[in-house]
Amino acid sequence: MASWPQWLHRLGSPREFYRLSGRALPWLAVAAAGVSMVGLVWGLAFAPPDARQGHSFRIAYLHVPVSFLALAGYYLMALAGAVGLVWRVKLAHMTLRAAARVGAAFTFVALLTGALWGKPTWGTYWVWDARITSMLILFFLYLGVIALGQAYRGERADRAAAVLALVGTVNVPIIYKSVDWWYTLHQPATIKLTGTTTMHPAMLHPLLVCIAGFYLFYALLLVLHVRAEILAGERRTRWVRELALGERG
Amino acid sequence: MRPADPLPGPFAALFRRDLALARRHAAEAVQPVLFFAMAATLVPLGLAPEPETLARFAPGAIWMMALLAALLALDGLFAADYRDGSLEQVVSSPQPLWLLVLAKIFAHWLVAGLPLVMAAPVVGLALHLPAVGFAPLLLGLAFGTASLSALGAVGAALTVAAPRGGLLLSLIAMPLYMPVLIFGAAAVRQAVEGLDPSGALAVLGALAALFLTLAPPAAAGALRVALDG
Amino acid sequence: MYRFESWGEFLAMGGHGWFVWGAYAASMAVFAWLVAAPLLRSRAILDQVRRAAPPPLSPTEPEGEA
Repeated sequence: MASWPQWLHRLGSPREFYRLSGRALPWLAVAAAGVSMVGLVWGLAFAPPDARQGHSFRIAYLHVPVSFLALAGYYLMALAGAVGLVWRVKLAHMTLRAAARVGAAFTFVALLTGALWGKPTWGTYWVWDARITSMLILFFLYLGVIALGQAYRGERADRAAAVLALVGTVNVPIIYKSVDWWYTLHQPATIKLTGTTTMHPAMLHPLLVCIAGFYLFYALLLVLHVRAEILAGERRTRWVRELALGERG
Repeated sequence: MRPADPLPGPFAALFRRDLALARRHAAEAVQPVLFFAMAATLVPLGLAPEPETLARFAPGAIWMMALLAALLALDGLFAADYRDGSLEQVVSSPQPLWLLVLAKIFAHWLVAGLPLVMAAPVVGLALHLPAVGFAPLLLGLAFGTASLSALGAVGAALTVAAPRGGLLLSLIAMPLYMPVLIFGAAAVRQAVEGLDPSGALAVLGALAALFLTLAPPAAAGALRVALDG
Repeated sequence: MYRFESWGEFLAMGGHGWFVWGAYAASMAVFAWLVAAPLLRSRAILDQVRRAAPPPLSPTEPEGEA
């Protein structure tokens, strides 16, 4: 590990990450809030309504980026777990815990917005459609990682959750494929939410802005949660004590 | 080790030990099958006793109950060895741990999985499963229970040292079981509907091969983590 | 409003107002919680550390680990 670039090695130390991320935080917050607000207002007020779904399509500007990040976040969590297992980096385990919590919340929001979109579109809040079912299973996988991380204490909890996240990574594509196949077995694919039909640029552009905005927002949330994990994990160290005393002195 | 031994080495030793233990606790080994039978009894009680209704739901119901029975049987995979301390010895032995885990998975499948497969025809008869469904049910369950034992070993290893790990084990293993259920139940249903189930059965076989390859090292790593504290 | 004649129409969302605004409101509540939870947690930890720490008379003195 001596061959690692020094900046990477330094960033891997929780204290250094806390210091650097603290400096980047205001910029990240402004960027995340700015870009996602522009995207959401554009989508809500200025984009044209969908030809078939009308104004309920405006939920997509929220639902699509969040669903996207819910899945991508699982891989990020598993990657953090792998780094933590292989190199025993404390910061990676803290990232895993933060990503599990943020990812579970995003998956929940994806399910919730999907249900509220489904009612005006399909006439029902819940359909056992391939995507919704996969998203639900993804939610269960996240909850499993969180629960396992709370079943043990200390390093054992971190490493157990990391192993489970990695096992889940192998299974996520299998689950998605099998649920897809299961769905085609039962329903001819007539109702598609965002199918292969090309989206009109007037709707696509605000969606792309929303996706970029939510990427930034996810990064912001991850940093915030990792910073809280750092403080929790390092609360007995001297630098945290100095930080606590210096904050209002 | 006897020279005529067809399965030499630590793999066979552990395999045979687990089977001998299971024989000594035969009453416990019957429990998953009993659970399977009782849970299957819930189906007519909860849905409807009419043969047509049961026949329609039998493929999925049999698979669901078998999956739950396999899930409950998982608890015994490592927990008893953990309590009496022998798991510690297995983990700290110089043998490759994944091989020992594979031995335990095989023994567990023989003790807990295979009886479910053998009980399935009886449950199928009771739930009025059409005759064409029996062959894909048995073959699918044979592959499927192997997958469940392998995947479940990872979950059982991860939760072995956790206080109140039993329910947690079900919660983390069940999402991983869902693809097996999808293809297993679909194979039976396809056969009943006059379609060719060989595609779904092939996927089940592939899944079993995949999980039996990947799960032993994963479970070995999980055991090391869980016993590390 | 470019796509809407009035604020009332904007809120009505062509009859789907409850779903659109419900989805946005519920999501914003979750997001607000996601932002607030780590901040509150960090502050609670720092408060706790501050209370447990000895009075900062000599900040240069090295402190022993627990």
